Amino acid sequence: MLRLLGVSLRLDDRALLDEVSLQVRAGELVVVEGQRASGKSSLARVAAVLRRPDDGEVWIGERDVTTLQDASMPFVRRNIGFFSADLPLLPRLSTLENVMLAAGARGFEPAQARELALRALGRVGVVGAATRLPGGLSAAERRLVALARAVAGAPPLLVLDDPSAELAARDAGAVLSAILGVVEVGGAALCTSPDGSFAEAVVRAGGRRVRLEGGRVLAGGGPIGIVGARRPGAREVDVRVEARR
Amino acid sequence: MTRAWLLRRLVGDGRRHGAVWLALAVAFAVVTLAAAGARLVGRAPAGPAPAAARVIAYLDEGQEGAGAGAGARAEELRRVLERMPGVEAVRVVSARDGLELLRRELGARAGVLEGVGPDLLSPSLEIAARPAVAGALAIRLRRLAGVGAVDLVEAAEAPAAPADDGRAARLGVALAGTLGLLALVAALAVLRARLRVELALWLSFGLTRAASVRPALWLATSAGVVGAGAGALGASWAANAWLPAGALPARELALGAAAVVMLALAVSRVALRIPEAAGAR
Repeated sequence: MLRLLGVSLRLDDRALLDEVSLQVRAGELVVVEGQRASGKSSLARVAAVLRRPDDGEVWIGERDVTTLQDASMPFVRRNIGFFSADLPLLPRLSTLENVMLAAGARGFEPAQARELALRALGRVGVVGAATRLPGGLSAAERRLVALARAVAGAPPLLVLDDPSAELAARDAGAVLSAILGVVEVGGAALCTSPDGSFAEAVVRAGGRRVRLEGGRVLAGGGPIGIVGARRPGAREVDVRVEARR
Repeated sequence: MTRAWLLRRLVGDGRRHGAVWLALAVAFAVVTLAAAGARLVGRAPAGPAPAAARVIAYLDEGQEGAGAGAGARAEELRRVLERMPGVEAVRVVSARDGLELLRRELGARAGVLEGVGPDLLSPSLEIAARPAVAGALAIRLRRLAGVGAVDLVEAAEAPAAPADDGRAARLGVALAGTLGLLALVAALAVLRARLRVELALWLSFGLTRAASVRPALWLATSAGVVGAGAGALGASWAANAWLPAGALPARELALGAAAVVMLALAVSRVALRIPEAAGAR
């Protein structure tokens, strides 16, 4: 589903990612664990096609997206649920409307998006806040709503940058449960986290742990270029890139 | 995103950026008003405005004597004349009043009127009209049945206006225009800054850059349409209420408002073009 091959990313002279190779198959959950400034967020942005790497290939489905034109990128991104603390909730729109918008961008009609948004909010345990405005939510609730936005509609690829930060253990458990909900229906999920206990929980739930340090994968990158055995019940999801008319 | 979603986003953007929309509409209205004001100032004659000319139409002998019927005829004429373009005021002067007026005008020499009867003069209509139409009006009145004679008293020049009146008007219009444009730029800058924050979100959802800013562009354009419309209506009302020379022609006003709307569209498009470096690359 997602394959990064020799991906490098530099900022001025500093290497944010240094020939990172990593594979996440459909129906698989991978957690990238690393300390602060180890390149986790950069890796997440490259994996979510929000940033082009300086070198290397980013395969999503059967396509190397680094070869696509900028105009085609949005059509790839529509298949990716992305979470980052940087992405705000829109003020003056209810929590539910915020989550619905993401589902709408993924092609669901409003009624369907509403149902998916409610389900996603329920999965992360904030369905009670559906009608409230983001300004009236706690910081943790806002993060959970943003996570619900990423998982709503079970996108084929889920990329979450440090989803458990600032969350209580119970909430982090709800987040993991929501991620597994996407993985169970055949989605591929890549999480980054500096939190060892969250990474442990992911491994206990059947996920794989990858260690990242100084922009390099130390261990657990997966069988790059080799089509491994899929998890039972997992389905291959085709990510289509529509030509711009 | 489907049309239903675009509509929802438009409503959502309207809720989030309502204050900016209002500021944009007001700015466009001020720009339209200033443009209309500039046009009016540009049309105003350089010298002092001439006063109204006076046309006196003497009714045929016997009109007054015919009693209520003649009075009704004079009233009817007055109503017709009042509706004519360029006519500012019409007054019915009876034979008796006319004689009284003549006495007053003669002053010390009024003795020459000693012993004359009240029917010396015919009843008349005194019409104050714009100088440009007074001549044509006099000709038309002479042809009218029931009108015996017509006098045209050319307008005297109105007292010279203070020399800086035009300059003050121009300065006011320029100031309003500048303030309107500044408000426009400021409101668009606020909208643009907010969009830049939201852009990363829309791009992460997989929206194209154009689709990301489209509702905001529509909002800005609608603010332009509403603002320009309100400005045009305001300009028309103000010209009618305050300027004796009359309003801006409707066609000119509509064209001006349309020009401001086009400007709204163009300015919004340029202002809301988020550079490639913003958000995702």
